[in-house]
Amino acid sequence: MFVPAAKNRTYNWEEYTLLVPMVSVGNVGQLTADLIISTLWMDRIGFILHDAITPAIGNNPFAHAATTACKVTTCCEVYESAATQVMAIQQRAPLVKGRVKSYVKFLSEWIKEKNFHKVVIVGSTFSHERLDYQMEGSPFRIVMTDKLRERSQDVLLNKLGWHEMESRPTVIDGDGGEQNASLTASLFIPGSGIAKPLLEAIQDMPVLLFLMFCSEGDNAQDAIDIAQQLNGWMNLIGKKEESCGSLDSKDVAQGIVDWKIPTSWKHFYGAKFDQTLFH
Amino acid sequence: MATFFGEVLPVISRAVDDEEDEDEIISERCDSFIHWSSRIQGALLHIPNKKLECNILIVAIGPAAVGFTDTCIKHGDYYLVANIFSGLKDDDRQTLTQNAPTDKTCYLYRSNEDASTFICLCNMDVAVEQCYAWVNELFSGLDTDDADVVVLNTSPTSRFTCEVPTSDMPCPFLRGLKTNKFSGVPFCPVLEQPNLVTGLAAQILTYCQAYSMKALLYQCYTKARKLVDLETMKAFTPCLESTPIRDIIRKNPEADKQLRDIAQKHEVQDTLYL
Repeated sequence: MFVPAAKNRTYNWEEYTLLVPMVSVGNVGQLTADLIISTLWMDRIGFILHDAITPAIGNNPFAHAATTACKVTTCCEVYESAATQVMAIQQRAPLVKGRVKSYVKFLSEWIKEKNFHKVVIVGSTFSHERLDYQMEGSPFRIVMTDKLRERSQDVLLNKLGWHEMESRPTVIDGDGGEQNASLTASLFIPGSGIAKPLLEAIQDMPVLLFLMFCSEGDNAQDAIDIAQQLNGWMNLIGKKEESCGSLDSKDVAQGIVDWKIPTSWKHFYGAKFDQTLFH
Repeated sequence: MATFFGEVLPVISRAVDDEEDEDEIISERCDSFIHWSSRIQGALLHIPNKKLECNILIVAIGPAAVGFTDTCIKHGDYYLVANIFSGLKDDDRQTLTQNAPTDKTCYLYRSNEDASTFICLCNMDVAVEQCYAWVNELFSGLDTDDADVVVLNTSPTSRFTCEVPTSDMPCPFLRGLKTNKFSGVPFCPVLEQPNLVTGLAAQILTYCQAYSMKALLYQCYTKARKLVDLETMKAFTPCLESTPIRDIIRKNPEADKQLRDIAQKHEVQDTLYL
């Protein structure tokens, strides 16, 4: 269930782009959403409560490191940037096994009901599952729905040079039904969480599934790379600067644009330990 | 994935469990549900919104918080109004006294002096998949729009991440979190990023934050095995001076002795160094 943070506001998101990070290999999608939310100073406008999401809370991940204020952040929240007309659903906890279907159903119905201008699903897939001809070149792959293809195929494939995910015919289930004509039938993306069923459920909308081949590890750089790629298409930073003046922050990752690293990225690999342990 | 030497290793991901065909394994266990006492069931019939008025709700999770709350807060005049059952299997035995290993019960008590004060003692682990239903069940019968909710919880120090190695920190220690609606501040330091609280405590705060309720969480980080010993229970003592708990307690002269008894009871059951 979506619970808005401000009770009396009505929303119209028909001109908005929705970012949906997937809980997938290396949590790259979530890290990318973190970067975008933090860099664009997006506002939290609501919460998603669902029995499929495992509970987790913490303090504000986007606050300045020295702040002592308290702002509870929950496991699934919706963010909005009115200046860039972008929204993001940041999910911070894994899903409960056995309730994934009901969550996908809820999420896809919600997305359809809000009728977003376009939807970008960001995720990752196991790099060790790449085939030989996928080994070289860009680690990024995209999947477009027909509606998005009509609108942006030229920009995505020719101008940005993104590659479509190569189809991989899998064993045809059962009687080899006709359903294989659907968009996701030959999509092989292990480790991408609910990307495939979600894409399937909203394939009538303009949807881009943006994937990166990666492995578990320090995935911060992967997230910066994806954010960079998406920025090339959606011009997030440019729009933000136009409307709000330039970004000034010291915690930035250097790249073509400066991404603001959220506080929650501290201690990625656990606490410091007593160094005398290994004398 | 094949390594340099050629053996094939299974690849696991911390993010996803990638079994494609997921079956409905959850349905084996029933969801959490609340059972109101017959006296309350009768009373609820006469209340239009079917909810008891609640101004203060204290939820203690885990043996240390339950021991502390039972001794120092609930020692006054309270009576049992509901049980919340969680994750019961068909063949689980239920003793209603929480003494059997299969007992999966949390208790909700109401003050005899102030009918709008409730204390919930949850001595058991509520599985993550049960938390959502547990919290909805609890709040289904309580009118908590203006209530102060306080959650006491414990967690091992090894889950705490900061600049200083936790071995150098004085333990146990408290950290607090509050929802936006709660106007005060926790008396202890606020939980620092990137630490997370998970489980039932997190679900309660999530609910309170989403529905604009006043709620506070005091999380005690402890090195005690099984998360309970005398120091851990005593670590919650400053809560007695804080809003809203200070408004409802009377001092328990026997508290020290009772806390020691509880600690001893858990020590006896700890067979690590027999």
